[in-house]
Amino acid sequence: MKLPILVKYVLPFLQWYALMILFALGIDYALHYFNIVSVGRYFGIVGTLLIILSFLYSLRKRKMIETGSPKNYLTAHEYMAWIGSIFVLVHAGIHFNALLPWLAILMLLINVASGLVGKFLLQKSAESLKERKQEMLLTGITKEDAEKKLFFDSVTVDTMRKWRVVHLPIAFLLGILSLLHIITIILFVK
Amino acid sequence: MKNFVLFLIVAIIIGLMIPFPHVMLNPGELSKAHQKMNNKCMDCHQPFKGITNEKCIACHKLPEIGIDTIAGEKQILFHEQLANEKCTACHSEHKGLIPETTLSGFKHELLTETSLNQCSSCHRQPAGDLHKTLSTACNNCHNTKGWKLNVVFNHDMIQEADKNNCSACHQKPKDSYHTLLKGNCSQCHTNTKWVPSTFNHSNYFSLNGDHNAACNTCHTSNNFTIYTCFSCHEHTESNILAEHREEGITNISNCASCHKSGSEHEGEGNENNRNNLNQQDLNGVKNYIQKDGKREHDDD
Repeated sequence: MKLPILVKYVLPFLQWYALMILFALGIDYALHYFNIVSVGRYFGIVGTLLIILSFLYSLRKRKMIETGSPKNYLTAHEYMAWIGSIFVLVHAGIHFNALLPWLAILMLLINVASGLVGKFLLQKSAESLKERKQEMLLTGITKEDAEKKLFFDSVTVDTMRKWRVVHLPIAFLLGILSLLHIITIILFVK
Repeated sequence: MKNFVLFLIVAIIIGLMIPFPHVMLNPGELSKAHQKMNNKCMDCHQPFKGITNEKCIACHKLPEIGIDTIAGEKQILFHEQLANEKCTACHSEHKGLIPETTLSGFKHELLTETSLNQCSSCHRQPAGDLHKTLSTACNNCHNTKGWKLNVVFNHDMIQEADKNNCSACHQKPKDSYHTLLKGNCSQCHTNTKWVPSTFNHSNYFSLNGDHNAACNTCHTSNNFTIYTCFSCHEHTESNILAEHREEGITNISNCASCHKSGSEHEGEGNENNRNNLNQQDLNGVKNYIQKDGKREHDDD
């Protein structure tokens, strides 16, 4: 049975995203439980460093680094950014105060989502859509009928393509907002 | 075009940070008294230096600190002893409107030796009777780690006039035995431990062997002058009565008058024990209870 793309690829993607948030909540709970909440402050530094390190992939992609397999850089980028995001989420905690750090967190959440779209969904979903269309055409169905039948899957893939487009600009905004947050912290150090 | 939009967003965010730092950067609400400084970060913060004492003292005059306390009950004047300490060592901000939540990290170690020994300059004297009778300094019993932590108390610290007034601090026991007592507690008890007392139960009945039981096994009510031996499976009233009838004894209400040691054969052949036995020993307990403090104890 052919499962819709939404079930086959989108739901597993959501699991990874939910896992990131659950990990962050779990660590935050542990910090409160052991009364070491102040440690969360340093998690922000660790998380930021991991995310910065993950950008080595971008340098490799643009050939500013020429050694190493791009695939390995991509894998490292995915895991370091995902783990770094957990650290940053713990650092943010569940406090609703200043707008600037919260904008940064919002950008982080959007960016992880768009990154996961790239990793889990887009490529496989597009391939799957193409395969199904080919199969339908081979059975003698016209191109128009095949497209009608695959309308929902096509919409899903198109939506994901748009998510992929936001990954870099949002990463840029995340970087700027984080930088502003760091500067203000140093400026107003206690 | 895309780059232009991004730079525009960044410019807007930075532009908002300058007139509205409270909304954009504030890590938590300021306390009530500091609310007027919501958008005046630099009133307290010095770039890259943090919050210096000079900034605090600019508003809070040193000799006046502690006079207007948040509780409004007592002046806290030890701050003058802390002139060289950072205000932020104890007081922090951005923790909410309630002023008490801004107090954190106070340690007695921050105080000078002089103020450390003047507990009452910050703490009220406890209201209980115990503390009124004491002739000693607080730190002879308490330490700065906590009022109830590792309290060292010695009865020698009580003023001479109150030394025999145990009930000023201790509640008198409510059982019938103690309510009948007229003498001083020190006749039976010492001031090191309440239990054991010097009352010797063996004078009336030996608590050895199988008889080393809990008080309420025999004294089933709060009245310790009344007891029963029939709470035990070993001594059923019918069996005991049958055995004693052979000896011609019909009154078995005061077993201890013949069997003081708890031995079955004790008192055998004593003609005086037949019928309605004397109440000597039972009265002895009552007398012990009712006598005043000039008694000489058998066990002394």
